[in-house]
Amino acid sequence: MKNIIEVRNLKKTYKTHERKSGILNAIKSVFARKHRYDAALKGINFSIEPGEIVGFIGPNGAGKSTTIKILAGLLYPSDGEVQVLDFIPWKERVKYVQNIGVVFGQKIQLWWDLPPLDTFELHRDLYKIPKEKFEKRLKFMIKIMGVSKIINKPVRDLSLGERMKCQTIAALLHKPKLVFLDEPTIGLDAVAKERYREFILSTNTRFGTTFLITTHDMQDIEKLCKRIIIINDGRIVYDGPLKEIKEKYMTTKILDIKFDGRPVGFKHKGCEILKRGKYGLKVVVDLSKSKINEVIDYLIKEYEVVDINIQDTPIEEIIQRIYKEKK
Amino acid sequence: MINKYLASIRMGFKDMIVYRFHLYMSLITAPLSLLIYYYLWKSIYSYAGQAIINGFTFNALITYYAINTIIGWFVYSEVDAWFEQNIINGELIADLLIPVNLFSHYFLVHRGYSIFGLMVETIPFLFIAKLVFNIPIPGFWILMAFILALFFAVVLEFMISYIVGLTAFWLKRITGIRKARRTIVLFLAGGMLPLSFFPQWFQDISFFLPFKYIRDAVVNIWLGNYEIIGMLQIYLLQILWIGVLGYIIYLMWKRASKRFSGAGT
Ligand SMILES: Nc1ncnc2c1ncn2[C@@H]1O[C@H](COP(=O)(O)OP(=O)(O)OP(=O)(O)O)[C@@H](O)[C@H]1O
Ligand SMILES: [Mg+2]
Repeated sequence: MKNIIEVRNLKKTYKTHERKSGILNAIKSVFARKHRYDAALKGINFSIEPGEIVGFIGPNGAGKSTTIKILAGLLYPSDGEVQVLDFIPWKERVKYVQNIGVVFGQKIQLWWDLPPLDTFELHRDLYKIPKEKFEKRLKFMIKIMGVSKIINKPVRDLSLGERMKCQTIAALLHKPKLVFLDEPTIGLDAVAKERYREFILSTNTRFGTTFLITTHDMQDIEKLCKRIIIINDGRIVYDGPLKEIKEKYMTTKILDIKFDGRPVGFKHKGCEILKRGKYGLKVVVDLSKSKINEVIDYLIKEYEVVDINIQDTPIEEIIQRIYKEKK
Repeated sequence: MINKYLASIRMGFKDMIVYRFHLYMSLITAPLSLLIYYYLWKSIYSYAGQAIINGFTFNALITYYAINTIIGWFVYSEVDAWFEQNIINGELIADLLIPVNLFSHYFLVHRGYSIFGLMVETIPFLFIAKLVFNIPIPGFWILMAFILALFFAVVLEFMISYIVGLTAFWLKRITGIRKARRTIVLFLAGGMLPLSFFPQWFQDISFFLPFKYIRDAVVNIWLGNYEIIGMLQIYLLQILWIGVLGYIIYLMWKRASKRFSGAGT
């Protein structure tokens, strides 16, 4: 199938002004500005097919938002080629953005002093959405996001999570073929996150909408994406099925256990103690040697357990391991 | 098609409703400052012992200030402040993601402000000015001629503040420039004193600059100081300057959008 996104050797270098702290340096910088070049993207390649949900992950400052901004036509790249939906994003902006939806979790994309409904109606007219379609779709989205009570409240009075839900509605009202989500679940509570993911999945299956999602929440990735692209320091270090990464690297889980009393003599196959507290233990479980429920069974049988918390290996750790292997 | 433009105007209108109290305040302050001008110039006229100073009768001068106030409300633009803010915090992104030309969107939102201002400021103020200060209201055709010139004036002031706003792509913080722009344009446009009060050389230069066509010339149409030829000349110069400033905006935008870095996250 023809690709919906095609990225070739994409590079982006930011030019910033160097300024050291202190008054004297501030005055100096007025007269002689020192430029500084930061390479945020160092030549990345990937392509995405229509209908995919791709997770775009990596540590802070890796270049995720930069990539999305370029793909959304907001930034000019320093080098390389990009083709999205037969457009070169940063050319013909007005025509291009008609076809995409973008949510920046960290940015305010709604009219600050007005209720979200006003922004929705603005989008209805700007994207030329027929009235009946608009009403129907809005009703559906309001219901699934659970925001019926807040769409008449000024945006400045909304909580972060409420704003995020409304921002997503605004970005998807016109049924774009392609959607970029940059940390969309930031600020959402657990229930809202679950609903949000369901919404994305149903949009994807019902309309074949393509999604490119960045997030620091591994749950988002696990629930939504079959494929992930991992970026680190402006370079892509992995592009492929999530399953592969999981089988290869997510072979451990971390158990955080609290006991009623001192845990004496804890020992189990495949377990390694990370941290020992007075009434608690932090344990890494190697899943290839021991199943997680075996460990829990053992714990409950042998000890008075108050609480168990199971965590995945943090994505940052996985990236580091991939990175090391590449070298 | 037309809906698309009305949508931007509607947003400006609604946005202003939020700030309506601010506008109500100007309904108190505007007549008050007119009152101050009234007494100030009354004493100047009686001191000078002349009925006409620099071509202005006392009543014409008060009218000049009153109409200037109204023009000020119409041409009011904060687009330069929007650029400064949106570039620094990166929220310009939101406006670049909607399928609308940025200039026309911002312009139309401002027209939403104008329409709201027309209702809560201009019309009540004209009423007061007519009753209290005996401001003359011109006949139909002069009024139409005034409105046309006012429209071009609105575009001109908007373009100037748009250009100032675009400099934020290079300079980031432009609070100083913005404030200076406001005062300088107000002064050169004849917003503080009619241009005929200035030396001849100053008036000669003003003729070739865009500022006069934002206020002085427009008020003088209201006052009936121009024949048809004079009005056509004003329109011509207004349109000419709109073309020049529009071209500058076009060139600046081409470079500015390449510089935009979408700061933050
Ligand atoms: N406007 C800018 N000017 C200068 N440097 C920038 C700018 N935006 C980003 N950078 C730099 O580019 C690099 C990549 O930033 P980017 O925002 O793409 O990271 P990210 O992967 O989205 O990180 P995060 O997970 O923290 O959101 C960082 O080192 C950052 O400091
Ligand atoms: Mg980011």
